[in-house]
Amino acid sequence: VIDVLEHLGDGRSGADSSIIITYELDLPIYEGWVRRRLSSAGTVNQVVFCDVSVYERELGALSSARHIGKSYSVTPIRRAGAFHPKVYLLLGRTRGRLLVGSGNVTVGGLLRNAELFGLFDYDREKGLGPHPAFGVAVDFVQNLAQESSELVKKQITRAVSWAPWLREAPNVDGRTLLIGGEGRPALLNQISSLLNGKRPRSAVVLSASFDRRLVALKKLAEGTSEGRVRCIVQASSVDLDGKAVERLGKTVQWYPFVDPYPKEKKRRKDVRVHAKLIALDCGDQELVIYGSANSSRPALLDEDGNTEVVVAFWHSGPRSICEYLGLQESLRTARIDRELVKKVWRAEDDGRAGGAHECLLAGAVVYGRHVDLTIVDGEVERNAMLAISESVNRPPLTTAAVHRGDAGGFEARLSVPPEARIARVMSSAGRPLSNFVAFTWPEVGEPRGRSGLGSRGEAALAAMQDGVVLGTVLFELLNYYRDFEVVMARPAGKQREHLKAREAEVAEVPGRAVETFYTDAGAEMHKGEAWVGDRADLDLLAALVQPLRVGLATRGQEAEEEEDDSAIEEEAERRQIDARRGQATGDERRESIRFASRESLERAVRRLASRLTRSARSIEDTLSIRDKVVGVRASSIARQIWMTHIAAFLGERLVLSSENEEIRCLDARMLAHYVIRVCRALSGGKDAGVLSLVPPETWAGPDGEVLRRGLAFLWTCCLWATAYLRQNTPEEIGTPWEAVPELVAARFVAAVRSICQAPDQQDITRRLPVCGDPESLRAWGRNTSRLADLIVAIETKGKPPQELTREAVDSEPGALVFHPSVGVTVLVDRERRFQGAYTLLDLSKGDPPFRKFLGQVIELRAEGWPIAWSSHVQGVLVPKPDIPKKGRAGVK
Amino acid sequence: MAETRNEDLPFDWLQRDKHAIEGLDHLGIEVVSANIYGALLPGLTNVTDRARYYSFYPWVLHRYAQSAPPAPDRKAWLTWFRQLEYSYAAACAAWEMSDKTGAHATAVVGVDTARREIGRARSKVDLQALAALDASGKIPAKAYFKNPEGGLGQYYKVPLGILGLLRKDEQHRFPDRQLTLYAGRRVAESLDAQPGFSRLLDVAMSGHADISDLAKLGEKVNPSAIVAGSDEERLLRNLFLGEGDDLCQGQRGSSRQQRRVSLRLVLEFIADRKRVKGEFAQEFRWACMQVALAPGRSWKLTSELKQTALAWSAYQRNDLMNYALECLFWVALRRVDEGLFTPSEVARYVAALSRGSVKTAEKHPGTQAIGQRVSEWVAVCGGESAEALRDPMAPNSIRSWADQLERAVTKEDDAGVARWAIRVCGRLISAEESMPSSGGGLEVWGAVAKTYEVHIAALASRAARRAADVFTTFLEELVLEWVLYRHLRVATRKLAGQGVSTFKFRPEQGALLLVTDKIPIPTYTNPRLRQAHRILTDLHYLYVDETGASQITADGAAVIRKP
Repeated sequence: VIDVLEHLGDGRSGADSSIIITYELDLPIYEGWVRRRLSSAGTVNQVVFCDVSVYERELGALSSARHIGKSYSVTPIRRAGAFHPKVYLLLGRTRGRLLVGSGNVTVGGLLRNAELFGLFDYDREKGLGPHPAFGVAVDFVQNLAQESSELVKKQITRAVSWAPWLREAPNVDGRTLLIGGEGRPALLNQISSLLNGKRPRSAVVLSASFDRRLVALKKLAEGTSEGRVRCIVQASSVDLDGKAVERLGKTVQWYPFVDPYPKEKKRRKDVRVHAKLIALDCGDQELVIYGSANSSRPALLDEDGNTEVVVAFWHSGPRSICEYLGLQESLRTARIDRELVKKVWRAEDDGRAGGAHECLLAGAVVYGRHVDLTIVDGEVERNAMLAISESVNRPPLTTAAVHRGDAGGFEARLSVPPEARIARVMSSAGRPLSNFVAFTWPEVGEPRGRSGLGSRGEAALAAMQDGVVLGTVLFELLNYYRDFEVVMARPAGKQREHLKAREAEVAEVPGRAVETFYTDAGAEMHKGEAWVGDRADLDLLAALVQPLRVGLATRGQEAEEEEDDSAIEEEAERRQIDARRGQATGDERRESIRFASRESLERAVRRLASRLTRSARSIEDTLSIRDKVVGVRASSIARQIWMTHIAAFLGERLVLSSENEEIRCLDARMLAHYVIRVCRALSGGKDAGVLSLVPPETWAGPDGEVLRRGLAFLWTCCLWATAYLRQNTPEEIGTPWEAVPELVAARFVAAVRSICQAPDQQDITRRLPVCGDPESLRAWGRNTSRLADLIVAIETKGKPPQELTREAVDSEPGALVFHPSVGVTVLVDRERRFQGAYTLLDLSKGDPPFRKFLGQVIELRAEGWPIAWSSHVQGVLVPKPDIPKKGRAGVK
Repeated sequence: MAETRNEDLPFDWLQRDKHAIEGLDHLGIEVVSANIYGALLPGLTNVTDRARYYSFYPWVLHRYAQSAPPAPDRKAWLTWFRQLEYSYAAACAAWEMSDKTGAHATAVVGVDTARREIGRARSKVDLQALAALDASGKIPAKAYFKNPEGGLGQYYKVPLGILGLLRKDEQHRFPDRQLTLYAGRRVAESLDAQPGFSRLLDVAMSGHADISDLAKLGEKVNPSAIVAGSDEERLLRNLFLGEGDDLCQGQRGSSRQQRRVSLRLVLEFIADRKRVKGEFAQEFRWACMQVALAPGRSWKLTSELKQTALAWSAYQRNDLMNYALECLFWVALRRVDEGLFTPSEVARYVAALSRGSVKTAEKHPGTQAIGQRVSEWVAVCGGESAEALRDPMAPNSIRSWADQLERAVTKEDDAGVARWAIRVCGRLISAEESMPSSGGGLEVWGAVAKTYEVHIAALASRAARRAADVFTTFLEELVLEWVLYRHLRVATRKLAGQGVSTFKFRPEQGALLLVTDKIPIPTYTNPRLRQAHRILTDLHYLYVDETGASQITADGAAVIRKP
């Protein structure tokens, strides 16, 4: 099965932008669920297109859509037929995801109905180009953007520019994305062209909707050699004209849909079969088409019919497509032709009210005291007015004349009252000329970066102090990532050891001192329990966000999201017990609303890892372009330090899921990797790192003081990470830095000790619980400082003292060496070819971080060096012959 | 075009909802009531029924600490704890099954299993098998209780913390709570002094017992057996009533004060009414709301108690509004079940249905068909205060109207439900205008009003803002925004936050489809009053006579007399 929401929100897609094209848009569902999942996965640029008639209807639910036009845009599209695609496109810098199917953005489409979806993924790391479907989808979106406001065009442009891989050579896999609709060939013609002249023997169709005369089905049947179609429908919900069914006779054989979903989950009275499928049997192959298109005339036959997006592919193998999808049961069940003959066509209005207006108002963007109007598809009569209201059912709050703006578009000059949410164009006599549209605000076109600080950054930075830093971080996270997922889990007792390991140790652990079972701590020592009790200390967000939330938000657009259902928990428990006449099993709180399930926690763990990876990558990217960067803002460095604080707090922290299973928030190795990567990027090598890009005047101001404190904490984390990586054999290194943490740490210490005096170890067991005994870090601190001294001394003089050197002719990988170009570094490889070139690690360089030299390499004698690493690590580290690129790692 | 290989198809069925549950509070309003009663009775919950557990669990922890040497791991603690808790349940069950007069083991954790086991056993009962963890440290399927820390983990841990008996262990050791020296240990030692509990420990550690021995033990240790005048009783009384700065130093000032006043108000109510027959919680809520005890008798209270009564009144008004809106939701869902309607059509239907007249034994303008404007609706439904004083149960009192509403739900009379719900709302709005302040000065009210969108003050303010609007338009919008879309929003929030699907309907191509087989019945919340009553009874401030009526004891009367 395909979990669409999971695919949209798992964070692994690394998507900055989402573009959703849907026929139906259920605003509460988009706002409350889809948008939140996308946002919590870091998707900051959200665009939605939907059919205008559905859009107008949905504006009735505007009270449930507090973010529309602010954190996402919705553009209504008007077509002669229905604008019917269901496309979910995620675009990130190195990854992309495309879901095409039959499900709209509704409870049914994403949660309840029998829908079919297909997935396309792109990941730059796999080294294959993007599927052509991405290109087709993006072209489609760019066309839609032509009918959108400037703001939406900007969103689309940004989305595409943030995904440079879209321009790479495509990688085909047999699937073809087809789009039908205005200005395009009829979809059935496009499908036929894929047959390459083959004539299918028969066809199986699954469809939720048909044209009254069943012309499309007839056409499909005529295209087969047997002249018949087997059609699977849900008799109770499908709209058919019994006379047309009768007329077609045996040309169409009707079968009831037998839900292939697991039986125990089938008792759902509201389930609708909304999937669309055409399988054309060509003997040893089937041409399969799935997506948004029903087997109806507007979807398949009319050139100016519905706008549809489908995927077609050839399929062969031991199991037919119907067997694969579990539809065989439907085809084995007795036919329902006779039942359907009795059906009466519900000649209802299709609700396409938006089509009736003289013009389409696609957007109304509020800029201060004027509203930019995007009016497409129709003429605006003279003396037209813009009427703005609170909701579709309320009388206008105010009106203003619509006139041509300087740029040729339309605008209205007026101040939009705070309660106004929607606008429409009307004649001076009050006759509606356009559809309603929800206001859009410029902020939707300026999405905050994944980690941008925005206007409150300075204040937050000033407030960032040791001890309160986590609260500050989370305040900021909540403020800027409104959808930051709050994952509630119970603390799982002792933090640092895994349960099994701990239990294995029990026999050797002496008994606990009796006095530790008692305390004289009073009420003032006890925080938050009055509200959430022992659950106040859950995980990162629960433990630290909750006290801030208890302060309670001001009413406003966020009010709904501040609502907290936790207080109702005991009601639920009591009612369950009462329902069983007082019997209690201790299982009543299993559906806990505060504690996350194992699944949710694991997802949160994945997201955290993904955030840390992105965070490290962003500072590494900055380092790689440091020659072009004029300066780095203090807030950018602070951002990394905040992430470090969060990660440090969560390292090896165990939480209990609602199923009482222990979940580790963040693996110690992941934390160590992250810290070393950040430290390397901050300090760099001989040519310095990102830290050197901070404007010197910053250090004199309050920001500098705050940064100093943060760097002092990072210093401690760096020592811990070095110790950890050294003590735990790094067989699975992800970056070269993990193989030489000592060198990275020494470089980092050399860079920061002129800024901050000493590593910050205050209350370190709470802030970095994974470090265990802080005393154990002291030895590492001394060694690291000694190496830092050595690096500074040698690089200042430009050469090492004689007594510390020896010829590097016989040096082994892992040796500490000096070269005038890269300073003190590590020998990674010694090639016997190329006149014995030395491959040295250059900590100032990006990918790949190696440079080759033929001479001038001197080995340094220092305690603990050379580092011994396994052949496996060496294999990972040593650059392959094709990695060095021209101009990047030239042999000197 | 290349072809795909079988079994590796890049498309599939949509994953449908994995965690569909019945859920509760489908409009997200009960939670407001729960927040208010939570602030009014801190330290108790709806599932902390017995006072003795406030001494029993500290004692268990104390005994574990004193056992030599206490093992520092989770498994050792849980094994110890569970064996003792299950032995306690078995003793209480055995006593109950001895058929002695008054023997009962109500609200004893694990007693259902214990009853079954004792019923099956001939003479000896195994106290280990059903309490033990499995080899991996998990709770086996047939265990006496699913929560690893039994009733402590499931019900009492947080309340014991609020009363200052336990504190969270900052070192994250097992057990994860420490006993406070000033309260927890003192209470635990008060059980140490009782031979029954020493015997209980012996029995639990031996792992088995004779049923007759257990019954004798149960008589001594069961939750109703707190000895009058004992240290245990004195300490628990003082903890609940917030008496004694040293003992109560672990309690926050505000929660100590609020619980004290609420419990005194409960005692005052029962004392003033002499005998309270029927369901105590119900009587108390209505008395607070109407500040009236009985026909012709207003309820005279000191200013401190009056403020708390007004806070309870705010709770009751909010809960009643919630009930009325849940009733409108119920009507709307039944309409959805009848066919395919858009949200607006459903709202229009409910609005139209609600306007019609209703009948009561006495004439009242509110029973007539509702007029054109919102202001008319509120005006005709008003007039409670004088009437309540005359007779809180008069045919047109709000309590009677609420009863009519409940009856209409029971009879599945959709029109009656819609009409009475709207009248109850009208009466509440009208009452809200005359209340001194919505929360009776309760701090939590301000926070709740800021955080939650739908509550009684918001309803009143909405009606005031739209006083000149057409009533049916107002009501249509109310049903759309506060009932239909509100449900979608609340269910979506639960889906996003908790991963559970509680949708009762869903839009499909513009129309609403019923998702559930069972339309949720409107409910009131349980404001911890039942538990407060039982705890006060366990502590001998109240007693329940043979007819089931509650009366105050001499000790209870003394508490009220105290300044």
